[in-house]
Amino acid sequence: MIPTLKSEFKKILTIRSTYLWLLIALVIVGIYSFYGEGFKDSAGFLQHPAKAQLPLFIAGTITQMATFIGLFAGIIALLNITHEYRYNTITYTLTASNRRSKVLAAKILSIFGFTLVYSILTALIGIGLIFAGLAFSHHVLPPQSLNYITYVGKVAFFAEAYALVGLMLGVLIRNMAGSFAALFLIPGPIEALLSLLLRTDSVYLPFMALSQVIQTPVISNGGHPAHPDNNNLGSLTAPKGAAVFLVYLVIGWAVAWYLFSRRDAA
Amino acid sequence: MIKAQNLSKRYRKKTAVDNLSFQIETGKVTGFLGPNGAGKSTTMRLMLELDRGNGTTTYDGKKLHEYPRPSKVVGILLEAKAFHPTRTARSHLRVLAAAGDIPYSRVDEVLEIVGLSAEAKGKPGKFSLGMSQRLGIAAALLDEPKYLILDEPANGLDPEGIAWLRDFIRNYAKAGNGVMVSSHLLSEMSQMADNVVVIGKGKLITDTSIDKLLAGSSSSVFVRVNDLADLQKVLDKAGLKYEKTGGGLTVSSAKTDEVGKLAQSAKLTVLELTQHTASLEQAFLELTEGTEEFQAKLETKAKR
Repeated sequence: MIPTLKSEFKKILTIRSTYLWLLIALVIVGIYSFYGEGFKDSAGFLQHPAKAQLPLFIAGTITQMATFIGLFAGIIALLNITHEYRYNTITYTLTASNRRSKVLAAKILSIFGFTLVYSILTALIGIGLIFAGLAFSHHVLPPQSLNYITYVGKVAFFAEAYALVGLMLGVLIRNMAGSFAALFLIPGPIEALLSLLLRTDSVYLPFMALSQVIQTPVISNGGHPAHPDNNNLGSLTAPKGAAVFLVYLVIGWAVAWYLFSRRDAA
Repeated sequence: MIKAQNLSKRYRKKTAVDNLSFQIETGKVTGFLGPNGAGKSTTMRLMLELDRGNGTTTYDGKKLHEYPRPSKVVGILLEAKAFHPTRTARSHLRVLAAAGDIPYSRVDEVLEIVGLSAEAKGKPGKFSLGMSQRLGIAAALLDEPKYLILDEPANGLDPEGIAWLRDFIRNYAKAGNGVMVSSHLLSEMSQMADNVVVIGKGKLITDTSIDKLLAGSSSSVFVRVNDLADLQKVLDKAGLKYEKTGGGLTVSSAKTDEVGKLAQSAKLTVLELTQHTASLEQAFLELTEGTEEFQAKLETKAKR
């Protein structure tokens, strides 16, 4: 298992596209946190100190960053497997190991490890850049109501969720364009259409449920969060949202695992 | 010894490989021949457990997945361009070395063996087909496997490269290893292989040595005498088939002794008598006649 895992890490770290997507993620997170939120205060919170959400300024910015960080984690994970099929290196990968399950487990662990480091570092860089932006623009930040470890953890969870979905879609679909389409369409237009049918139950859709994890709490009771798990969509707490998403993920991976073990290599 | 037994593979209505059994011996090079679409690549993938089908392939009595380190058992080259185009040649091989728990020092050794040391930092996306083949061969050799399974390894190689590959493969087999090579370069195969497995439409046509294959194929005799008309009468009486070529007759499926004696019996003066042994190409064409998946339709075009 260790050699397979080592090889999988090496695969992620020895292709240009990994660094290209990392750079794009950092640039977007950097622009958003430093310029958009810290420096320019694009939401206008800091110019109107009476606004109720002000104590959650940093928390809101971090959770917005999570969507960018997660998306790029999904893309890197998706490319990790679809490149194997596109360039037919899957033949080497599978013949080097005596069990396909070992290969898939190594892929999951390597993507999980890579995403954990990438998401935490990017979130920390993003938080640092918010403060840098605030300092440059001489904005004064009121006391914030958040636990940084919890919020960085939420970002990491969100990024891991996207990474494991990206990898799963790659295993299921194999084709790069098809996997990309699925990664962008399912959380966006497809769930949006389904939510028209499901109405309030749409929070049980996988990505809607996942989004509950990174929702910032609603402020009430004189400027303090009513409850740390209350969120803007209302019906699911962050742990429940995570649990619903994980049910979908486990089912999806069970199918992906079965197909990976049984299908022809390409 | 690699023992493939009753390999079969169906794609919906089409049978790609049909109950195929053969053996790859150690110490020998086995050529794997068949027309386009005969099922050669599918067979190789079945042997490597890459495709799911029926039948079994054992390597010295065990299936490939029963070995803890399959890369030590078999090295593969199934496609020349099987690499990520922006990962350097050295990194590509290091990824494979890591998977097989092979020391990285071996990567530079195999690059040296295939003559790609100078391109170690090059991105294979810019490699020619010949260079890509060399990189593929390097990948196959990484763990010094007992068996090599190579699909068209000579494709794209220049004459020097082909000569190098031929010598390399022969020496690799002589060292006690087994090599299975598919190729459509039949002249190369005849110089390289000891045994041949010929398939057509997924079925085994023959599994024999090159020598036996050529001996069993139709050979012809070219004969030139002082009176062709008299010779034709004698050949007709003997029931031999012939055709006029280059001032003489080419007699099919015959030996020089036989034709010489017939000419002598008719009191003809023999001016030239030559045995034409079948080439591997002729033998291959005879064996696979009617099993081609794709045939050029020149006649149809000519009639229009």
